[in-house]
Amino acid sequence: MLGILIKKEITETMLDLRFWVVTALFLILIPLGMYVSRKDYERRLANYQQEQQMYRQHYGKDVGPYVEAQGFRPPSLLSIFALGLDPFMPDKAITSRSGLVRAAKEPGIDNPESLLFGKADYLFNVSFIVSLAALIFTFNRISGEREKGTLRLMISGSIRRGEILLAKIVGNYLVLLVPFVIAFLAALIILNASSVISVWSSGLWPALLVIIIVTLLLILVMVSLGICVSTLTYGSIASIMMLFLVWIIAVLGIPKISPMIAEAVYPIESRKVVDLAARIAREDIEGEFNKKKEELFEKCCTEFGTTWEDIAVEPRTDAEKQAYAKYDREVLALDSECQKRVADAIRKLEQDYRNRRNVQASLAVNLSRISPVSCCTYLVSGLCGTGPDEPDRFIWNAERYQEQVKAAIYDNWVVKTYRMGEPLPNIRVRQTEGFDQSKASVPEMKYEYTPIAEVLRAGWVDILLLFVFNILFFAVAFWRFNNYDVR
Amino acid sequence: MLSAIISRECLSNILNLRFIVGLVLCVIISVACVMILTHDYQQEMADYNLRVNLQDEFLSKYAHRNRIGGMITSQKPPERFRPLIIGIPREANLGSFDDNPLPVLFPPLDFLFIVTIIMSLLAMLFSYDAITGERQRGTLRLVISNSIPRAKILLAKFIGGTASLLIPFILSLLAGALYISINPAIQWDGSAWAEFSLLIAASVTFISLFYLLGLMVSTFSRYSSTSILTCLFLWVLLILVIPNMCPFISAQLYRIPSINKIERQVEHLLDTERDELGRKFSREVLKKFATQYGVIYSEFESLEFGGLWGRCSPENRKATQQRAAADPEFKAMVDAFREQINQAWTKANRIQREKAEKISHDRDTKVAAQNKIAKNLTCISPCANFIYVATDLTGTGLRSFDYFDWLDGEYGKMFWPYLQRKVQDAMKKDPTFETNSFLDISDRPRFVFKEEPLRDKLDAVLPYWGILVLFNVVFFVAAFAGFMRYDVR
Repeated sequence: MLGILIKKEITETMLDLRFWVVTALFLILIPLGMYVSRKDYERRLANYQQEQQMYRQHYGKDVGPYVEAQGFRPPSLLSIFALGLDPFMPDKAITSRSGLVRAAKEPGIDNPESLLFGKADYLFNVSFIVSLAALIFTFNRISGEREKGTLRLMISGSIRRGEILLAKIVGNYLVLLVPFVIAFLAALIILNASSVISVWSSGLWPALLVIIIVTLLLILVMVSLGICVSTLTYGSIASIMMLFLVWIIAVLGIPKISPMIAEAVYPIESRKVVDLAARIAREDIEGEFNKKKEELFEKCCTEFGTTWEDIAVEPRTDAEKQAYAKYDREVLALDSECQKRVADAIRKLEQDYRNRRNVQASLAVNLSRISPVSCCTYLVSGLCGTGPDEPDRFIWNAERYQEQVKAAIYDNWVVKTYRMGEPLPNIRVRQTEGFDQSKASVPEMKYEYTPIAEVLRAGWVDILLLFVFNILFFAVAFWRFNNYDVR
Repeated sequence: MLSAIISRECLSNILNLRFIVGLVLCVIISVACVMILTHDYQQEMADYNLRVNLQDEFLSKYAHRNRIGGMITSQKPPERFRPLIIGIPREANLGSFDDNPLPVLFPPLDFLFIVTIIMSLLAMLFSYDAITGERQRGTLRLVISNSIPRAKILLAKFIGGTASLLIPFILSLLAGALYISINPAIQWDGSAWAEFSLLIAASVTFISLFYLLGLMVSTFSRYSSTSILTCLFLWVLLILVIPNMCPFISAQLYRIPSINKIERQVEHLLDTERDELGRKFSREVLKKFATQYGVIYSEFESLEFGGLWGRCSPENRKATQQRAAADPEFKAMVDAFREQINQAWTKANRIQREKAEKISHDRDTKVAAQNKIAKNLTCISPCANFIYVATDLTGTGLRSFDYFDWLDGEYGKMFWPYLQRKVQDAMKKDPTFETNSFLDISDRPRFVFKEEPLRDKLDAVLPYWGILVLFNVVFFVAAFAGFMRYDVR
């Protein structure tokens, strides 16, 4: 009986105008969105390759003691599917001798109009269009049949209500999958037509498979929700109003309002304020230690019968050599204390800021998980390397690159500062033994996006919630349908 | 008769479930939005004040000549319409990526969202069965059989429907406006309230457009189910698809060199090439001085030019100063040398800057052309037109970036000559003044942000507003044409 009911649902739905309207929508939007995203990715990739090439050409051999090496972040291949945070992520990490690496983004945006209107990628199509289509398919499956009078005929045929409900969900789900799968395959063909992307590459397939599964799960959730909405109303007009309310709240309202509530409940200062405060703290500490170092140098010069104004950069007399030697020994402690204090001060500011930001983000994420679309968005954007965890991932990559450059360049230079600023600076720089400046080059940053296993480990709550939503909506629909007046 | 039909339409809409749902949704979301965004606005204002104070503090302690340029960035206060419209973050292109990333993934709710998504959907849900529903119920043929002109019926449906639809919208706006007016943190002057009134007028134009669209679809359909599906299909196209796709499509239709490539070219011109040119001009100065001053020039050269050209040891720098103090002829040559070297570098800077400006100008022209194509394409969608009107009117859109850049440029015209004068005064007082020396700029001119005049904003938004009015006219005419031939049985 279930099979017959499912077949009936499939036939009925495919003969409905809605099926053709939704098919047209999917066949236009999903491949077009993929084409636009593919072109956008190709442009970003070309920019990245150009930047890296120009940098290596002009600055690749600059391995001096104060070099600020630049490591570039390649665009994520899967960002074609979900642009997410990619336009706002830094393009490069810049190292420094002091040990602090900073992020930088090229100024300007190539397409500012897109900021006004939003994205046109796969995730957008699934979150908005496919979810709306699922609700349009199903919103009056129960209430509409009741109005037509066919529902009471079915019930009077001693068919179990649970079977009817299940048949409606399965039948409509299978029908909705047809245009989606055709459109998706067309999109993959368009993607594969690119010279820089291969759909069969090992970097793409595993994540793509998981994205497809998550999408199918979301579609099932929305179909169940649509059927559930239908069991809550007795007429098509009421159903459509309820559909409208549910879609606005679930797809648009909750995900958007959650970060706002989190910001209102747990406000934090912006990144710019933290950066400014860090800069001032650093300047204050370094200023204090530069003064101490100058005093130490003065003391050493005086001890050996010379003055800091007269002493040469390269010591000539024994007294000058002894003064430098004593300063070299005693300044190490000051240097290391200065670096430690700067690093501690900045780390504290950063850590405070990050902790508070994480609390705020966590609050927003947990609030938004009331909507199944949010769960899908976190999973898909996480798999595509454009999710909420990517900023931290960038920092991890940047710090790793800093260590790499430190080992390859900074540790091969010894820099001693005897006097800063007025009247004349006195800084000595020399290479360590075995370091050949002419043969060395700036290392490249090997950027690693979050692996799939880690994304799934972090996103298990979202996967679980998608299953829970399915069960919840089915349970509510089942309970409601069992009390539904079919007359 | 017209008023009777209008009041009948109003009453039937108000007594419908749709009205209750719309009212509840509008009022709750609007009030929640305004409260949350006002709170955000206060936070941003506090953040802005903190940044300005920190910048002042930094400059009061560490305004070394070579750092001032990097620290003198004009700070933009949060837009005064921020409690209503979020707009585009100023730092969208500067990667404040370490802030909360969720608002990037899910752009927040604001007035634009309420109008473009909620009100437009509500308008279509009010109107999709205005004709088909009456036909299915059988009341339409009863009305027509009373010799009422069809045009009057259509007009009455439009006026009555739009009026009942605007009730929840106006109520929610009034609640929001009341909250803003009593909040001491938001100080709106006359021009702000004028802009607000214009914003409401634009919103009414937009909402009535979608009501007419639903009405038009209803006059071309036989059944309400067909009508609603067509309406939703058109809504998805006009609100979600066209505005989102068009910027990317225009980027493909009219390609421009990437901003990164241009920045690199400009950087190369102003850095490497400029240095080469500066060195070339400087070598010409050296040749000229060698010929002109002979022996004392050779002495000066042996002292590594006192650090005025190329590297110089501290001893030689000191020796140069001592020699200049003792020998007036030597001092005159050093002063002339300094001036001519500065001129050589100024000339090199000017030539390279002109080249860089030409490249940037070319790119800006191409970007403007691409933006124009994108705007023209997106004008197919009424949503895009309304967003341009609303954001440009309230100073929260792309236009506000250009205006801020212009204001910044005007401030630069005041600040850089001031800095130049300060440096020259400092050099006169202390000949050893150099790039790492501290400069007291506490009396510098400060950047003050001023709102763009309403007249200029209106000039910019009128074309898009005109398109919205045109859409209204087109949809009404189409609905009229459809209804004239409509079979009411």
